[in-house]
Amino acid sequence: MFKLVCSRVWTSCWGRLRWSDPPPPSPEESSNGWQQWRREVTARREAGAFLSLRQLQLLSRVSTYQSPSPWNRHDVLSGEEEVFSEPEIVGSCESWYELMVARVLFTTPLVMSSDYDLVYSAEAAMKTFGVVSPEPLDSLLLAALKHSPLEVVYGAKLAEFLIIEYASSLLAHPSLWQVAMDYLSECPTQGRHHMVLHLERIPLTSARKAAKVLQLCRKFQLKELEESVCRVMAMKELRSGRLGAAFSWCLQSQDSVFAAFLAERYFTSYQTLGEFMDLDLLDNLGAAMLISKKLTFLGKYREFHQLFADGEFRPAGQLLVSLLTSGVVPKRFWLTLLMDSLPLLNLKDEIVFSSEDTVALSHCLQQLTSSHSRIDQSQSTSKSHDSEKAPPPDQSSKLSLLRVALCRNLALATLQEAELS
Amino acid sequence: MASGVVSEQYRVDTGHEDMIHDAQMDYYGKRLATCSSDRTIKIFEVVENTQNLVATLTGHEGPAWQVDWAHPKFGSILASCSYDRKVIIWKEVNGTWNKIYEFGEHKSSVNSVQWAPHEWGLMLACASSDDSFSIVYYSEGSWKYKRIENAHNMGCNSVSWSPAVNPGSLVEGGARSPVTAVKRLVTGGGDMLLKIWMEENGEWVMEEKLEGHSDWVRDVAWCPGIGLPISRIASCSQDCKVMIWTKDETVGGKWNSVVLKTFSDVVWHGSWSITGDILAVSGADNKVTLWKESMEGAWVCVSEVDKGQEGGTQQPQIS
Repeated sequence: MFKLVCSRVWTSCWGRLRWSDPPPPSPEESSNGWQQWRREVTARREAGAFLSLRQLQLLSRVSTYQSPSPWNRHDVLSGEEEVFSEPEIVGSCESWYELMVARVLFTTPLVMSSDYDLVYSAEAAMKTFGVVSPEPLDSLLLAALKHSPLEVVYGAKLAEFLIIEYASSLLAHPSLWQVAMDYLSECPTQGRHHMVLHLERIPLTSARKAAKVLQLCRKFQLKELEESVCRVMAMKELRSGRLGAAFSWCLQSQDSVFAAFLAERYFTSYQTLGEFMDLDLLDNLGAAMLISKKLTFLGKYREFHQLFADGEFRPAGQLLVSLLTSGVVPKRFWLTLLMDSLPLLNLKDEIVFSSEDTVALSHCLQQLTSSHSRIDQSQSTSKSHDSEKAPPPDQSSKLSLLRVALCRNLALATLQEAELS
Repeated sequence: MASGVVSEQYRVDTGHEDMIHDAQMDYYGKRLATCSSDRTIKIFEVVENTQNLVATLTGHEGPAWQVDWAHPKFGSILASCSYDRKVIIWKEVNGTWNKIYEFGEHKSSVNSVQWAPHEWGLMLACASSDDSFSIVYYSEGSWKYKRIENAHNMGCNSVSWSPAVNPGSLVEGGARSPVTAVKRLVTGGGDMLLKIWMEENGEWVMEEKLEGHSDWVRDVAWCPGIGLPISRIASCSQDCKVMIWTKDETVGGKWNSVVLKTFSDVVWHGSWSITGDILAVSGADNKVTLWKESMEGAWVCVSEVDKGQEGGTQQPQIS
């Protein structure tokens, strides 16, 4: 009965579109007619014209089935999805491909075989039909829809084997390794591992070659290998003393661990040289600063120097205090920062640090000196004549200068705040 | 099923004065290290089809049996072992090669040396004729070692590390397979056995004993893993056979063996390619043969290289 109604509806529907005389309708015209018919049926169904006969209602739902948009095909809960899962529909089909054809027919009758949607429809139909382990015929059909002739002829396992063989032979050639990677990416089970193993061993003889390898890493989402390649290139630059170039490699892979390592190196070189190298890199860090705390500190420190050079003493001072109190700075760099505060403390006409800030700075100084004296004690117990007693003479003079400046500033700041209140 | 393997070969005239026992290419295939009975190790830079000698390392007092390159992340480091009971570790700094450590705890010839997978740090294993093998590693600023005595009854001839990847840990997308925490290696000895060792609570214990050969095991090679749940070891023996030992985690995890081939003479060495799909075998019959496993599980010879002239071929190397 149901099948009879189906065929009748079917014939009438195509009857409207069929012309007895040639030429047959163009795809657009038949599509328009088709859409118009669907709208009419939907309207009648919503008006309740089909409620008397359940099968007719079901049929009308089938023929006006609206597939979810291709861009959110995971949105299964649209409700209309259910009509093809109805037991009557599924029961009337002898196998999953009948279901798939029905579905495709009622949604996109003008589908081309090159549309990827077919594979999706096939898989959805298989799922609805309850196909758990595909039979050889099922895999064959699926492979045919995927347009992979190797797979159709040989079966999936052998196809992969052959592709890997071919790709491996390509790798022997010095310039064909990129092509080999594309082949390997087609192999679902073993391709990835082969790719990583081979890409790792491509000698990174030049920046261009490294860039090619990195591009492949990004294409196939091999994050660890990307980091590894960037590290190798950065270390090469580092060994030649080009810290800035090393940084640019590191930032390409967003490697936070390595960025921290480089930032420390950078700061140590600043301490020894007394000035920043490769300034333009540091100035243009931007959002990349945030990948590592140490890098953030370095960026902010450079900002501090720029503010100071521009004469904006108060913001510079605030930045310095916030850096010291935030915990971003490792202890061994504290003395350098505190010494940077000295010119700000000794300004004749402006009081940069409030009393609170001065207290914070003094606190930092105190922590530094107490840790120094602890080192001194432990050193003196272990070695009797140690020529190096921490803090060394030039450092102790620095510390005393700082103490004097901080005390003076505290006095002046307190006075100023008392005047204002 | 035989595939047309494109193979190129060219001769390298090393200038060694005596038999060459081992030749190894580095990680990127740019350099070659050879060691010989003339007690030296030579390092060559390989460019296209030519090579030029870069350094000659002297320091051994007897024939050097094997060399191995460490992972490039540690720098340019090479290890060599010799009849003089020593393992020497060499490092290249600014173009010059220097000895950075000498390990001399063995009481007899050290026959084999191999660096562990780089994931476990700077660590190597060496096997000696005094029935023991040692693990030498760099930790906390100094070189340390662990010696495992009475490993084999008639001397340890060869050692090979297992890959650092867990078998069966193929992961889709993003990260690589997780590194296994358990270190394993296989040794082959004069007692005709292969033994698999694992590190447990800081000590090395024997995990399995594999029997099958009827004469000295000359070389063992653990196949590099690609994440499939299969472990594989190749062993070459004085009984002219090469055996492939396979452990499949999905069907019970027991070691099964199959004879690759019975050759006409002693088989000296076996070596896997980096992706573990080709095995190179060399022996006293003067040939180097390449083997591949077909889809049905049978081993097929895909290439044969007649090395020719005097002596047997010692060590094939695939990179």
